[in-house]
This record gives sequence, C-alpha cells and structure tokens, in this order.
Amino acid sequence: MNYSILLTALLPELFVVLSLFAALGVDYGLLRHHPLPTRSRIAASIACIGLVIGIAVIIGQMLWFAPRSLGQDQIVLTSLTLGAKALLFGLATVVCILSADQAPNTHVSEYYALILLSTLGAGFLVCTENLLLIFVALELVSLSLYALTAFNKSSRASAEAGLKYFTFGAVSSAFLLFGLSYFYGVVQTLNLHDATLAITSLEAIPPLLRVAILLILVGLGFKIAMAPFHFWVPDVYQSAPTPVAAWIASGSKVAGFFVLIKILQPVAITPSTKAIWMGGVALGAALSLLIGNLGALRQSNLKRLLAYSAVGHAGYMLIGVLSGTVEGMAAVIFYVVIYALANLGAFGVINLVSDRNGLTADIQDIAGCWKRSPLLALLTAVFFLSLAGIPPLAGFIGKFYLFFSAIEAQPTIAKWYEGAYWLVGLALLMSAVSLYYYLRVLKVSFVSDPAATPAPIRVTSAEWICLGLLALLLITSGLFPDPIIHFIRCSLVG
Amino acid sequence: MITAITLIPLIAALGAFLQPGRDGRLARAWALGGSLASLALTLKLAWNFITVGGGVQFVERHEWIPSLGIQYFVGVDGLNFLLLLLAAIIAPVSVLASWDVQDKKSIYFPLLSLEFTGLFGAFTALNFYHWFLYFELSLVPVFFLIKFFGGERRDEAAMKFFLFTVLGSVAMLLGFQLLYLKTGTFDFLALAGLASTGTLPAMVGPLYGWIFLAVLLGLWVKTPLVPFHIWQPEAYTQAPTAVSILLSALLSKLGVYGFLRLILPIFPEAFKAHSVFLLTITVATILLGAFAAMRQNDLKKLLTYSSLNHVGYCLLGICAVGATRTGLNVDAQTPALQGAILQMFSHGLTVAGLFYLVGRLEARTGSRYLTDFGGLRAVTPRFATLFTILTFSSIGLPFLAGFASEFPIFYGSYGLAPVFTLAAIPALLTTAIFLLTLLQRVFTGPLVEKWKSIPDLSLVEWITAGPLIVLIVWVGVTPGYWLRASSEVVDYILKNYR
Repeated sequence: MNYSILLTALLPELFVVLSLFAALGVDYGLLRHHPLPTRSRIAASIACIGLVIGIAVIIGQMLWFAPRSLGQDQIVLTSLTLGAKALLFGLATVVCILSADQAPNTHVSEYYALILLSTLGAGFLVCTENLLLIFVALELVSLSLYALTAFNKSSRASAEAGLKYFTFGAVSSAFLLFGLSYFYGVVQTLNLHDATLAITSLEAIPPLLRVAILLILVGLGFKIAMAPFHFWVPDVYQSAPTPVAAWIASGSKVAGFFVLIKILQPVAITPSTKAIWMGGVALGAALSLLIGNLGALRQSNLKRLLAYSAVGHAGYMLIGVLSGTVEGMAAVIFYVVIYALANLGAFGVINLVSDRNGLTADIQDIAGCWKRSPLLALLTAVFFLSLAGIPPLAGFIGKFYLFFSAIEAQPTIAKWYEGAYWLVGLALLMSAVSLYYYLRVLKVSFVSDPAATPAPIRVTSAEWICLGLLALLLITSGLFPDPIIHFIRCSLVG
Repeated sequence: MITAITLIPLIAALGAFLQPGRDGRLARAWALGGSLASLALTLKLAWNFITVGGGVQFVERHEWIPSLGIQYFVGVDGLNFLLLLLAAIIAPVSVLASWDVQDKKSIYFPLLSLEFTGLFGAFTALNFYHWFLYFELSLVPVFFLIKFFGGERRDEAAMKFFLFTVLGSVAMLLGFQLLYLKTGTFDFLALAGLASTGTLPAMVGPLYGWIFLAVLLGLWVKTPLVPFHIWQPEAYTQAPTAVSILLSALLSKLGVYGFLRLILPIFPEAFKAHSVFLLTITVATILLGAFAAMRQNDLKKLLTYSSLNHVGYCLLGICAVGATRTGLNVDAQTPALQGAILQMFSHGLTVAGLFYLVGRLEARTGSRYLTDFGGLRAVTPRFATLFTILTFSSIGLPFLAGFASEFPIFYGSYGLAPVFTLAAIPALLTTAIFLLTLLQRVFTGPLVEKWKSIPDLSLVEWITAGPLIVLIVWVGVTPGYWLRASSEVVDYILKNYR
C-alpha cells in the first residue's frame, strides 16, 4: 500500500483528528480555570476550524483528484462520496456553532470531541464499501451518539434517553453484525463490489442470504428510524441536548441511508434477489409513513413532533430505496440531503427559542415568534415548509423526484400491489396529513400571541449566518434543483 | 410579461408582510397596489392579444430542470385569455372587499396577495410541473384565510376543504408522473399534439384509463362536481367575503379550466368513452345545486349552491362535446364549447359581485338570513339596483352576461346531447324562482324596523362593484366580441371530436 496516497486521501480526516486533540488539549491544558462559556466557545471554534479546513481539503480533492479506491474498496473516493463527506462536515460545523453558546455540562471539550468522532465515523461510513469497515464506522458513530445523548448529566430524562438509545442500539448492532457475517458466509468476501459479482453468479438463492438480509434490515432499520424499530426516536430526540438531536436527525440519517443503499446494492440487481427484501422494505415504509405522520399529529413538544416526522420521512425515503434503480438512489440521496438541511435548521430554531432559555421545547415556546424576532420566524417558516414539501422549497422537488423514481422503476404493473404505486399513494396522502402538524407550528409562531413575559431570543451572529445559509440553500435548491440532481446522478453512474 | 403579472403579487405579499412596525397599516395598500399593477399589465396584454390567428402568445419558455424534463413554459391562448383577465379583475375586487378587515392585517393581506400569485400562475402555466406547483400553492393561503379569519365553524371548513382538494391533486400528480414516464414530456401542448395524432394511447398502453381517471379525480374535486362537492358549502360560507369571492369566481374555474386544458385535448378517446357518465354527474350537479339553493335561508349558502349549479353549466357544454356522435350535429360543438368558456368569465363576474354585495349587507346588518330582511329598497335604492342587475345576470336575462354565455351552451348541448340538456332545464326554472324570491324577500315588502337607518352604497363599494356591472352589461350586449377570443382554440380542440 502506498502510504503517501493514503495520506492525501485521508487528509481531511487528519485535520479533524488534529482539531479534536487540539480542542481537548487547549481546554484541559490552558483554560482549566476560565469560565464555562469561554471554554465552550473556544473549543467550538477549534472544532469548527478543523472541520472547515477538512471541507476545503475535500473540495480540493474533488477538483484535482481522479476518483480512486484504496485497499480493495476500503476507502472509495468518488465525487459523490467526497461530496457526502463535505456535507457531513458542514452539518457538523453547524452543530458545533449551535452548541457554542451553551455547554451541557462542565466537560465541554469532550462534548466537541465526541461530535468530531461521530463526524469521522459518518465520513468513513459514506466512503467505504467494505463490510467490516462499515460496521466499525457505524459503531464509532453510534457509540459517540449514545454518550452525547446522555451528556446532560444533571437531567434524568437525558440519562434515561441515553440508556434507552444504548440498549436498543446495542441490540440492533448485534443484529447487523449477525446479518453481515451471514452475508459474508454466502458471498465469501468483505468487498461489496465482489459481493455483487458473487450474488449475480448464484444459481439459486441460499436461505442463509434471506436471513442475512432480514437481519441487516432490522439492524439498519433501527439506525434510520424505520418503523417498527423507531421506539427510541421520540425519547432520544426529546431528551438529548438539542444540537445533539439535530446531529442525530441530520448527520447520522444521511450516513444511515448511504449505508442502506450501499448494502442493498448487491441484492438489487436481479429480480429474484430483489424479491428477498422488497416486501420487508415496503412494509417498513408503509408502517413508518403511518406511525410517523399520525403520531406527530398529537405531539405538543416540538422535538417529539420532529422525531415522529423523522420516522415519517424515513418512510418516504424507503420508497426510493425500494425502487432499487439508479434514479431511485439519486432521489433518496437528494431527499436525505434536503431533509438533513431543513431538519438541522428546524432544530436550530428550537435550540434558540427553547433550550437557550431553559425551556423544554413545548410548542408554546415559539408562540409570537413573529413579534419577538421576525427574521427568525421567517427562517422557521422556510425550514418547516420545506419539511412539509411546500413548493417552491426544496422539500417539494425532493418528494416529486422520489415518487417519480418509484413509479419509473416499474411503470407497468398488472396488480395494484405490484410496484410502488400503492405506497406512493399512501405517501402522498400522508404528506397531506403532515401539512397539518407542520402548519400548526407556523400558526403558533406567526399568529398566536407571545406569553405575557416572553423569554428574549438571543442569537449570535454565527448562528444567524448558519441558519440563513441553510434557508438560502433550501430556497435555491428548490428553485434550481438541476445542478444538484445532475451531480448526484452523474456521480452515481460514474 | 406573464411572469411579471404572476410575481408582482408575490412581491406585494412580501412587502405587506415585512413592512416596518408590522401593525399592518400599509398591508392593504401593498395588496391593492400589487393587484392593480397586475391588472394594468394584464390589460396591456389583453390589448395586444391577437384574437384570431395568434395561437399561443406571450410565450416564455426556459429550461428549468432538464434532468426531469421540466421547462418553465407560460403563455396565453384562447382558453386561458379570459380567465387571466377575470383573475386580474377579481384580484383588486377581493382586496377592496376586505377593505375593513382590522384584525391581523399583516397576515391577512399577504396571504391574499399570495393567492393571486397562485391563481395567475395556474392559469398561465403550460408545463405540468409549475402548473401543479401553483395549483397547490393556491390551496395554502385559502386554507389559512378560512382558518384564521372565517366564521364560527372555520376549523372544520378549512380542514374539509384542504383534505378534499389535496386528495384530488395527489391523484393528479401520480397520473402526470406516469404520463411523463410514458411520453417524456410534461408540456401540455406537446401532450395535446401527441393526442391529436392518436399516438398517445398507444404510448401509454394499458394505464391510459387509470391516468385519465386520476387526472379527472383532481378536477372533479376542484370544480367541484357531485359527490365531491361536500367540502364546498362549508368552505364558501365560513370563509371571509374576499375568500368566498376568490373561491367561487376563480378557484372553481381552475377545475373547469383543467377540463379544457388537460382532459379535452389530451384524453379525447377516454373522454368520449366516459362522456355519458360525466354528463350524468354534471346534470346531477346542476339539479342538486338548483334545488338545494331553493331551500336555503342563509344568503351565502344560497349563492354557494347557485354557484355549484352555474359552474355545472360550463361542464354541460364541455361534456356534451364528448357525447358527439360522428357526423351528427357537428355544428353544435362550437357554440357549446365557446359558451362554456364565456360562462366561466361571466359567472366569475356575476358571482363575485353577488358575494361582495352579500358581504356588504352582512357588514351593515350583521345578518345574512333571508327571513331577517324586507323592504330594503326603500332605504338603499342604489344597493338594490346593483343587486338586482347581478341577480338578473345570474338568472340569465338577455343583454346581461349570464344569458350571453348560457344561451350558446344550451343551444349547443341540445344539439349534441338532447336528453341530458332537457333534464337540466328544470334547473333554469328553479334558479329563476329562488333568485327572484331572494330579491323579493330582501328588497320589497314592508321595511323591517331595525334596518331603517342603514347607509346606501359608499364610494368604495361603487368602485368595487361598478366595473363588474359595466363588464356584465358589455358581455351581455356584445357577446360575439367576447366569444371571438376562444374561436381558434376551440376549433383546434374540436378536431379530435369531429
């Protein structure tokens, strides 16, 4: 193996690791006796600097490096994987900025170190096509997230959510590991590309492969918040520190869907292997759509509401996964990116109106936002309307493209339950339902009167820039989605 | 130019929304200014519109999302010319109709302006993607306007309205995505071209019928026709006056326009095959509207059912064309279709005026129940005169707009589908009965004591209702002038039905 190539390939990660140690070192070495806010701000700045340099290096790699794969597909660098990594780093930067003004407890530098670790894991996850590395990277993400969820040590709820997340997560990891090992048993290789070849050359489908795929679906279904493996989602989203919840909902979701698409790739070629998992994924999609959207109707806590809506959105994206075509994959990737941006923005707003004032994200916290801070109210509208899929925001074209790809996968059917028509119908129906709860949030923010003594809304300039940038991205990619769609499609085809 | 007409209200909405102070003092001015600017541009467009031999005019066509075959494509032809004009006229009327809204002006007027953008966009779009975008966009402001500013049962009304129309458009979206996969285009005119050469059904294959049904369902709910009209009475009556005007004058036309733009040119075979079914539904709608209106005591509800009935006439003309037998009475097709197009225009003007005046009556007296009134002509003679003219137009008296459009419809559809046309005749009679009863109850007889001192028309009311009356008389006196705009496009559509 050529180590200089490895070094240039992993340069972005290297900068992130450096900033991780720098944050820890500076915090414990120099700032031990400084007040908490200062420490938090400095640690956040160091983390952000590392991530931003990482993004810059990735952009350089995209411009000057030809696509390459290292160590038998252990690290695959194409424009798509690099783009996804840059996006993840960008999301993590926003999360750090959102956390900068409020440290959950005295261990500020560990907090940022954990966020950076999970970012590294997510970055590897999107870049690798090796089963073992997928599992290791996924565990790196998950373990950091378990710790982050329980980070608010003074809160019982946070601890409870962390424990819940951990127990559910550990079991699902076991499922995934079992599944991956059975999968390995069938294909005799860790490399997904070789696995594709092995599976297409199979004459009959061994029962072991069915078991393997089923177990993998259960394991990954948990990570992407697919019903019926969604039970951890509401509690974790509600009780984790809000920036952490934002990171779980955006970064880990992006990584999760990348992995799902990747692992299903080898079994998505022939119709007979497709039949193994189509039924399960269709069922998962339908359940997620129903449980997520109907569950969200009754929530009065904003974070819980977003949690149920996350389950619903997982349902939409699974429809794209189900199609198993390049178009479907492109649609899922486009959707998950848009969803991550909008969700991060929504959590960012909640962070500002609730957490910063020590509130618990009840829907009334945002009441009268239009009178208290009109700009923030407008940003809220952009984020929630994009989640709801209202044109001309990016959420609309995301859904449009997703449903389009699902129909395109099997345009001619004989029975109603073939293809994804019934599922697309259900999804459209549920997106009508989802309008109700998203619009309710906006109603409270624009029309309801603020509480008698409303808590002030304090926003730092860095936060304004982040949220403004997210909103701008959602508007422009809604009006002119072509460059992004074109990029995803071209890099998928290769 | 069309893009400017569409986007000016959006800018006005933003202006009204973001003005400093946010007490809403200027919101009204923004909305009115925006709608008047759009009206001015539309009038300029109408002046330059070539009625015969112009084809699709004022076209703007740009690549938008090439990956998905989506173009930005707007234009005006004989089908949407009158509707664009109608929308431009009704927009300032609806702003003026909300002149005395006091509560939450900085929310109300931006929503109203946003609705104009949706309507202008939906009437001029010629590519499915942004047509659908505007079609959906036009739901959202209405939902909020009903929900925030409606009557007592507004929550239920807004919800019902929303669910029904969203369900309809969901079906339509699915249908068009399929159509795109089979044909590779979202372009209405290109699809119509494929259909007129007869290649579309073969390209689409066995799903042709399903796609037709999906598109039909969307328009069925939007228009609405029986039995999907059940959202309508609640929505129309619970909405504030301006929204009732927009719903009855413009949003219902969006459904009828859909029939003319999507169903007739793109699905001629399926439309012919289902024409008897559609005619049955239409006649049922016409009759139900007329008979239900007769039993109403609430003036707004009465107008709602009457509107259901009158929009049904448009569809009578349209569906009769589908029922044409080869070689039989082909001459009757043109008046039926042209009448339907003009009926959209004249009904829009008439019903907007009626809803406006009922709203003003309610603002004066706090009531809109027939039984509460009597002898109002003695105190408000001018108000009574305007109301009478509008009612007469609605009944279909000669030299007013209603007659000018209903006559060709009935003339044409009698030639094409005599049985169904005869079945619809009782509705004409019933309409005359309940509308005359209305006039009699409200304006004649002994004056009710408590209304002795209500004021007659104010200046704002003159400015709002006056132009509508002028146009109604104009259309009524010179119908040929107004019918000419649609002659060319009607000839084109009818090629598939000869």
